[in-house]
Amino acid sequence: MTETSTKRRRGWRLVALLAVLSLIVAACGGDSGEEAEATTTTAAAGETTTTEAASEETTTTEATTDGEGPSGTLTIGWNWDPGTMDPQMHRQRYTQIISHAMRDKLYYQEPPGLGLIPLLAESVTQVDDTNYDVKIKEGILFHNGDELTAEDVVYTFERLWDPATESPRASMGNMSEIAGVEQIDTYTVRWTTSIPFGPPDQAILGFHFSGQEILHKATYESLSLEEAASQPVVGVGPFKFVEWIPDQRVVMEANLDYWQGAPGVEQIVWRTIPEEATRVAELLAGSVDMIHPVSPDFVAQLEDAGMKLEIVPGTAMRMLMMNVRDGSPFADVEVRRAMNMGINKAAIVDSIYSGLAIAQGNVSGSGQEGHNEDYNPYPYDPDAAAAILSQVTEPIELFVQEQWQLAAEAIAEELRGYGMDVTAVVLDNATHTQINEEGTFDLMFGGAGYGSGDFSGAYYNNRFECARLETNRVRTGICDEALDTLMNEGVRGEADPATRAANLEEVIRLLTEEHVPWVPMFVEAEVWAMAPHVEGFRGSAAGQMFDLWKVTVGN
Amino acid sequence: MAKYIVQRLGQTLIVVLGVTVIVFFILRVMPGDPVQLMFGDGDDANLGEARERYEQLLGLDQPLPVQYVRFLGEITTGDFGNSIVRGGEPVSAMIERALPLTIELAIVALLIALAIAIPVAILSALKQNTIWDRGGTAIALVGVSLPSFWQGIMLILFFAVYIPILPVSGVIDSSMSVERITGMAFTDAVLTGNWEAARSVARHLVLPAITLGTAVAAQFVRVLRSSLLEVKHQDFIDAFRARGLRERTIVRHMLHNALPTTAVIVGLRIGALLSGTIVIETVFAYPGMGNLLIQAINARDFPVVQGVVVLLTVMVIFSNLVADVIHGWLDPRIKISTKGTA
Repeated sequence: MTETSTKRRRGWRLVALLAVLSLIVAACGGDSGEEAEATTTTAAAGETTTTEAASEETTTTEATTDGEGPSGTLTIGWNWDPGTMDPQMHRQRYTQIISHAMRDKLYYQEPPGLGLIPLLAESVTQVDDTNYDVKIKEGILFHNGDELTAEDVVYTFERLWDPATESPRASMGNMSEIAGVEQIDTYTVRWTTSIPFGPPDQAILGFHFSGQEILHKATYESLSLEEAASQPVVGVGPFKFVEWIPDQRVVMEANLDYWQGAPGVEQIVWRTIPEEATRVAELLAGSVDMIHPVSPDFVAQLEDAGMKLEIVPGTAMRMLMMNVRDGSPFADVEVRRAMNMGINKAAIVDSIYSGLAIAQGNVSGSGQEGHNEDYNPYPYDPDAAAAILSQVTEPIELFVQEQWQLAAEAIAEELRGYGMDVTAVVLDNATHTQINEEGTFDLMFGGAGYGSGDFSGAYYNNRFECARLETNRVRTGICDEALDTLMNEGVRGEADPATRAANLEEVIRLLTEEHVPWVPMFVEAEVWAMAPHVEGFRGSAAGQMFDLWKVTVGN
Repeated sequence: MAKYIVQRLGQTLIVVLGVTVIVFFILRVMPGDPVQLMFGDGDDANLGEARERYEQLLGLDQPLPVQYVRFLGEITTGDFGNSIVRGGEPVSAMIERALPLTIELAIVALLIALAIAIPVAILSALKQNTIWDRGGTAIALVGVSLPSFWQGIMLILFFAVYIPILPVSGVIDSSMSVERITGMAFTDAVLTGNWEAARSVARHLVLPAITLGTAVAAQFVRVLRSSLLEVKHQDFIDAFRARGLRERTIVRHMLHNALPTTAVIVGLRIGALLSGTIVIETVFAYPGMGNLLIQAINARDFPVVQGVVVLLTVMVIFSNLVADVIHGWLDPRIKISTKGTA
């Protein structure tokens, strides 16, 4: 061993030692940045004297206090990264939440319900069976100061449907039946459809106005698709884009010129935190102000820690799907009816969901079009159920995703009590989806979303309408052409609201009592947890986070 | 040595080709596809048609051999395709963003592991069969046995919630940014002289690196202790003692002789470090390769899963190769043979 090599080796050791020491020293030092930010936030919040502007009664009241601008930072910890900044290149709710905070739409679902109200639209007028004029509000400015015109609206939808865009959102609602859009004047756009879309309040569902944020034509015309995915956003919304660090955070700042009034907070930071226990810890540690989603497991802990909860009934029906086709243990409708009587939904809601769910009695979910909370033809009757279910003895696998395993285990246990041989089998999401669509199951714990609120649209089409079988979405296998006719002619094609409602009620009754493909179980709540200083937040049944401009962060 | 390395690189190509076949076809055989998951129970009145149209756009309707050949063509040019789920973002860009963060986390975890393992192993070996030895062995056993997921959550609860001295998760405080040079946040902060950001990144690294490091440290302790004990009982150590050498010098000689085996183990554990990041990064919301892989698997984002798995495979193979080479370099008694024996 030479002296030179010994020295060189010592040198390397010294470098390694210094590296470790520098990291330790850096880590142990106080994070002045965090402290500085916390101080700033507190000081700014301290100046805020009132939160009256975060009024829930009116959508036009300013969120900020008189004479004071927005104050503080709202940090939201949630499960997701938006994936793209292009509002037309995704299918995710969370991407839309981010997009909507920076870009308004023609219509939106005002929290907490599902009903559509105009946002950028002033009115919709039906010209004839297949033409509708949409008038937009005047004097609304984009982030860059340009005024919103019909040209921007036309461009938004033409870009969406352009085959070159390859947008996965292009056929949402009933947009595949739209022949085109054209500008009539500076503030009016005409929609032309290839089939009648019904009266305006029904047509706007088909147009899917609540799902499409309006783009600034001049900006997006100059961007390639790759650029639009990551470029700063120009929109008509309460917040302006600041930065997006994928899988870490999205930052946006208040648009002081927002047409409904300046937002209540200076800045929103959306932090991607995939693990729920970590999100909860972040909220408890005070490093985020709000978290979403929150499962029932953490609700008590958060309440005990003094956190506020926003709980809104969601828009996803959870149900037991029974294969109605020949060869299935559930081919006999009497067995399916007995299944509906034999499960104690209230006990599951109370014990597993801590009351954060609503037991369902029929195939339409709480808050959905045509839903009647009192309509429950199958009250819990274990004795009546046992008489029939005890005859079903073959082994049955109850497929379920991990999130609902506890509920499925409880159901399986109750069914075993009747003499059935039911075993819950947990599948990953993708496998569950495939088996569901192929209809290769006897019994499955599944879900059916109705974020748009309508029963007669995609909800019916994707689960009950015979036409779905042509595109391999078998599910329970139910198919009744007479029922489809009633839906098509008596509901979708019916202009008279009273007749339409009566026919829809009949469709729901026939499904619930005659076909019985499901045991409707419950609709879970959408839950947000937030620090006590967060004021003015209203969660949406569809899990959306609209009206964030009304939120303030107090002391 | 050069011939040996070339031979190993040739073998690496065959292994990588095998991995591409396995990962490509396993993903396709697994139930569920990205378009199905993306569209879900969507709001489209003609959902089936919409999905079929989108599958055509992505080329997922093509026969599997055609898709595989296209995938091979892409990776030979260093292009892993575009993400299906994340608005068509190139997979290479996603990896470029995530890989440096994972490498930095793994390096810090490795340093922590060595910082724990070396003194504990020395103490255990020198004071064999004493309470120090048993304590060290017990610590190693506990370290190996603790699930890192649980350990991570516990560390968060103690050091970020109950005694809030460290941040819970993330890479850096959300009010700070680091100018990108290498993509490794701490390194970039130091290189740009942004000491405030460096402190913040270091604070965010502590808990995930300790969680990852302690699990690996436990394995190092066991290996290094065994090596040291083996060396301790060799004749030359007795000879050193007989010549009256100081205990410190003897320990240095023992370490020098035990080092080659430990270096190989460290190299071989690179794979464990990388796989450990999959869980750790999810718990600590650390946006590295593990986090990327988990999200991509859940969304069946085929191009991303393929790209990440192929790259991680290459990294593990190369780290093993480097470990072998270093072993030969550290221990002159070992002659690497091109006939496959060492």
